[in-house]
Amino acid sequence: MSDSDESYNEASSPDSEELTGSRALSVGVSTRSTRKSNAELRSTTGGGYVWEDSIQRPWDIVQEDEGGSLANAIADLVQANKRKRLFYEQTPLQRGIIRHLMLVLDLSSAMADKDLRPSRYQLSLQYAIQFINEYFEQNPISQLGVIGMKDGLARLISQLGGNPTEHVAAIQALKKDEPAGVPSLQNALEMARGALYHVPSHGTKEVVIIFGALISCDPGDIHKTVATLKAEQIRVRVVGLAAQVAVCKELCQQTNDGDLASTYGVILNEQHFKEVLLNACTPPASTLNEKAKSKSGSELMRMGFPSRVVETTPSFCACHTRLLKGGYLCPRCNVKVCSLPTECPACGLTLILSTHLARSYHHLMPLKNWYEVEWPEARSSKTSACFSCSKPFALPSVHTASTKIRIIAGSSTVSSSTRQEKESLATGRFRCPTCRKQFCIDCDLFAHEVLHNCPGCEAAGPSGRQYSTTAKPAGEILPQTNAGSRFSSAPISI
Amino acid sequence: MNAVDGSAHVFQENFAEELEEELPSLLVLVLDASPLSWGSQSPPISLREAVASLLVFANSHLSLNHSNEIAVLAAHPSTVRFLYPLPPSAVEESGSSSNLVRDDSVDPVIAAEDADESNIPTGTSMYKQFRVVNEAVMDQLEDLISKTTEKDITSKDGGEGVSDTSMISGALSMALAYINRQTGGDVPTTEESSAIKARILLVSVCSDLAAQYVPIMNCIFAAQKMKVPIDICKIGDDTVFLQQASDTTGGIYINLDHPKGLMQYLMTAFLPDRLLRKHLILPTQSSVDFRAACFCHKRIVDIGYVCNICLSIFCEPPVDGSCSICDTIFDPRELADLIKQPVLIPLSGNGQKKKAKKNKTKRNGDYDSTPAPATPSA
Ligand SMILES: [Zn+2]
Ligand SMILES: [Zn+2]
Ligand SMILES: [Zn+2]
Ligand SMILES: [Zn+2]
Ligand SMILES: [Zn+2]
Ligand SMILES: [Zn+2]
Repeated sequence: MSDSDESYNEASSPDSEELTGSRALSVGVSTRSTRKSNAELRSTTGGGYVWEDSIQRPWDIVQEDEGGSLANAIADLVQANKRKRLFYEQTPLQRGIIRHLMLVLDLSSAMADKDLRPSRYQLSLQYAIQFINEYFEQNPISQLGVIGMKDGLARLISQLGGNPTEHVAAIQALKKDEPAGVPSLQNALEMARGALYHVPSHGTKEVVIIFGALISCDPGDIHKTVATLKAEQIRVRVVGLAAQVAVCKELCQQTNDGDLASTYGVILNEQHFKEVLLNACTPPASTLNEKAKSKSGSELMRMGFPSRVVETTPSFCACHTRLLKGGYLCPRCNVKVCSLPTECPACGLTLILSTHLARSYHHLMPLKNWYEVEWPEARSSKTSACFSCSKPFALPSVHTASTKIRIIAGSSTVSSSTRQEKESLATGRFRCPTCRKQFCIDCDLFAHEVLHNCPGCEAAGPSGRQYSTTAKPAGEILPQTNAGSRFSSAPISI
Repeated sequence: MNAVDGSAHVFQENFAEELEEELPSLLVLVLDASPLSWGSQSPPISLREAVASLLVFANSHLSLNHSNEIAVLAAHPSTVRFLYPLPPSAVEESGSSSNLVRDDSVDPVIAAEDADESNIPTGTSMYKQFRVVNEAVMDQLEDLISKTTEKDITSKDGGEGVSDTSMISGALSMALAYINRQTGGDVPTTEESSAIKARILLVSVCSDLAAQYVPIMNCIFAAQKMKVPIDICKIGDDTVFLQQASDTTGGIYINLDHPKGLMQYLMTAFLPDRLLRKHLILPTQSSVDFRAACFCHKRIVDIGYVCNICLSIFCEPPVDGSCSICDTIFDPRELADLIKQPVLIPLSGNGQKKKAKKNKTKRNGDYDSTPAPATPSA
């Protein structure tokens, strides 16, 4: 097993060395130079361009162990990667939940390049459709519009609206066209600014640009546009298909309070393109300005949560007078509507699926970080397996006997011996500070990234959560129900 | 390997395509073990009968495919526990005793169950895997129920009264974490890509889950992301959030009309796995209750007040004019609009109104005497 792995690695490494060599040659000229590794991409925050950094070869990071096998090394690398992800933002971020986003597509001749399969143009349209679906999945009460850049002009492809099918249809129609001309960032940004002008103050204003070209052909001074965008608190994200472009860099930096790393991504390959683009689906954390502003414009909305009915005989829906056998009944006036979210045509109540609202609650109440259990504590504790998945924990004797961890992934090359010592002594047990149950690393990742619940706290029941209740005197406003106390005990900072 | 299995041949003719895709499936059974709810079932099915049916069901699942797997979790008002497979710590505690049991002296409870519920012969002729599952589940459940104290079921929020709410959210969380471990943690990108197909069946008896609204919704979305359907077998009153759970994840929701016939419901509706379900017409729910629980009192509401910053739901506008979750202060004028009650014009006043509007309503005078036109109902 390990033998075959090794031979494969040996066979493949000279090959890839050549590849990177040729990339290094073409640095200044071509676009490929930027497609190296995630780690390098991240280092762009340092200020320089990606290609100005020293080259890191993946095989410099991985070392063989005594037996000459890479299997251990790879397993450790996987562990190290998991560890890196273990720290999550846990201050309840106020996020823009009602979003307004303009998606700007580059339809210029630069998109005809075939470096992405089947072509930049087709692939970005395909991903744009996925983006729209995912966006509405995660932000059901938000709005989106699409703008295209072609022949030096900005074209409105679909209006700002809340219906994904309309946008998808508009983009589907583009697939038959050919990319042509030069793009104009300024025109597109001005059009997006116009579209977002009337957006109510409690919503976010965002622009996401898929930019394939390395130039922008503008009628005026784009820096003025950038300044206006900043003043109007429109946030711009750019997904670059070629190389970093100075004006995009400035655009992202200026409009996002200097946060460049998460807003300007230059793609490495098809998969990375998708990741970078879909990252924009997560609601952004509110900026200071927005927080101040939203304070004044906040209001309580009355909303209805209609139930779905299925009838034996068809009846007309009130919104389109279509004859349908099912639909949703307005809880206030019992009028039937065919799709949600909508406004009741009879009584004007905003109708929405409650599941749409619930999807964002984990942003509001993030799970606390779990801390790693140290060996002395782990030895004395009776638990020998992960609470939620009952995977047995490593025993002390087994673990110390295992080989030292040599891999320190990516750019964070901390190779001091103390660090190694610590790593090799890791217990792999993580404890929730609230319920004090122990979990394995996989469950930690799963609970924080997918589930957003602590299985231990949920399983312990009200008695387990009791002390968060006692922390607060019996409330007057909030009755001391269990979940209620959980919310109130962690006040949200705004 | 499965080709050896006799059951596969039946499908070979009709579902040749499916056979290629037929993958082992992992079933996580979540049993709501709330002692009070089981005690108070009006068309009674006792916990004992239900567990017997569930074990037969679990065994059938294991026998469908050689590499099928099962896990059983019990949700109790005070805890959630793996009944099978046993966590290592539980094995150490009870391992010695259950090994003894397995040898020869058959646990009287299991013997009784097997004798009256199914004709699977007890003793050595029973398939080993079945025995292992059955014994583990029975032992653990006995242990769980017998250790239940009065304190576990007393209501925690007020002090007086009893609470029969099991920790369903905890059980679902653990089920999902277990599935995550078994499937290797990668979220399947397409319908068919994961190595083992997992699903959850929740046998639920207690009806009030409003206190667990947010955690349950989190579980639902996680399950949806992982493409794990949650099937609900509901005994007793409908539970709003569980309907939403099966609807969102593409599972089956059945409220048993005849709880005594639990076995038949399980075998006919819940046994077929996802691939097979495409070919069946299953008795699932048609209408779904999409109400939500308010954050302030845990009431289930169909019209709520939603904070536009954090989207928390309240059943009434807050008294102090600010959101209790995110501390946003609401615009007082907007708030006043919401609190304002509609003014009712008494019906007896119709005559005067008619007079006042005389010139306007002259032509419609005939209709005016009728009460306000009814809203066009669907
Ligand atoms: Zn309609
Ligand atoms: Zn209505
Ligand atoms: Zn675990
Ligand atoms: Zn916890
Ligand atoms: Zn309330
Ligand atoms: Zn709020």
